[in-house]
Amino acid sequence: MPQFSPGESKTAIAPIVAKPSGMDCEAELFLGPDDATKVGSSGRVPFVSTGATKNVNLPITLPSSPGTYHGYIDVFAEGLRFLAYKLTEDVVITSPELLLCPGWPLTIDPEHKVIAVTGVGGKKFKEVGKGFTILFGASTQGWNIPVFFPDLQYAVLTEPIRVSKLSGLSVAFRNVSIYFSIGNKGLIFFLGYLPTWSIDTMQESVTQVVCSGPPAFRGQRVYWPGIQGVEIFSDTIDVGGEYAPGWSCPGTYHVIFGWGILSEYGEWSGGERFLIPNAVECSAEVGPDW
Amino acid sequence: MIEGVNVEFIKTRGNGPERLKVEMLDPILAPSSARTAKAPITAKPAGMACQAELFLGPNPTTKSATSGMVSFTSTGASQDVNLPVTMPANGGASYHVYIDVYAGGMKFLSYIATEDVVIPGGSIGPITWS
Repeated sequence: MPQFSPGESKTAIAPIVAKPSGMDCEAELFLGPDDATKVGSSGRVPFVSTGATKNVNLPITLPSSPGTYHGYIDVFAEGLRFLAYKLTEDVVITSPELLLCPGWPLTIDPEHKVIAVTGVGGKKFKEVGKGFTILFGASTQGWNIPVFFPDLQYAVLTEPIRVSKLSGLSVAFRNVSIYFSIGNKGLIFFLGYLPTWSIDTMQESVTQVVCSGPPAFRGQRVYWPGIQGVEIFSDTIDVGGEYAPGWSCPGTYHVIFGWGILSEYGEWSGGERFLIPNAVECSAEVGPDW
Repeated sequence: MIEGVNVEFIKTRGNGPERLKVEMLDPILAPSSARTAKAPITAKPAGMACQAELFLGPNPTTKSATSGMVSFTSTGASQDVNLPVTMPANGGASYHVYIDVYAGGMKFLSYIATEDVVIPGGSIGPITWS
């Protein structure tokens, strides 16, 4: 069954044979629990019959509520409905979900409404999809693991990433940036927190973030609710005190990351953030080797 | 009740008005739908046992649908004759519409509609999403 996101705009291409040729026709695609209840509709799309198969585009905005919907197509000739079809497959509207790490075990934390990645420790590079790589891991030897990309300077996402909303948590820990483009908008997808970073010129379809200096970060094992928007953490996270740069505190760390749309003026808009709790363990009081 | 719009018929045979305006069929009809045409027929002289038939087809000799012979008695003036017909079951075609009038079994009036009736049909294949 086709699965889409709530409120997504899609176009159904219907191969319609209408006879005889030359008739003024209209077609309508609608979704609903039955053929009398329209939850979403393309409206009536006009076309002229040719007597042969003709592809008719039926644009529709999908329902905003997750669920399973029947699909129907009606065809009219001068107001007379002469074709009424029901799609053989229902349309499923699903809530966005994290597809960031398809190779990792995922669980959903119903309380915090986040996607949790289970498993900690020892994970290093994890190639997760086409065109980009996400760095995860912890090492007592330090974090001298370069950000890795394919030969392209810019990583291009060929599959959409769907993320769930974040209820709020605090820790950011790594200077990994993943950048990709979706459609014609430049998006920054970053993992971790960079206290200083520069934004390269935003191009039509690509956004690049370059680390401009050695990162300094802070890690906390504290649940910190109420984080709004996409923030750049200050050097001090006012929970439990300050730490020297680098890992200096063994323990289990969460990761918070998200994506947003960054204009060339440095203004953020849109985007979402999500959490990976218990993503990293640091077992030694050794700072990273930058 | 009679439904539809006025459709004009032109005479192809016999003595009578050159044109008839028949309140009848919409130009586009559903397959197997039942409709009744009301034809203002003038048959002279009065008192004849007459019959009228409305039929659809690709030509005057092929009847895809017909009202059958509907009896009436001529009045010498225009009189409305109801001609019920069920549309062909197969959609996807257009049909000429004819009206013939008989007296004593002899056809003495023939009309053809100036506008065909269309019975739409078709199919919808598997859709794709973009």
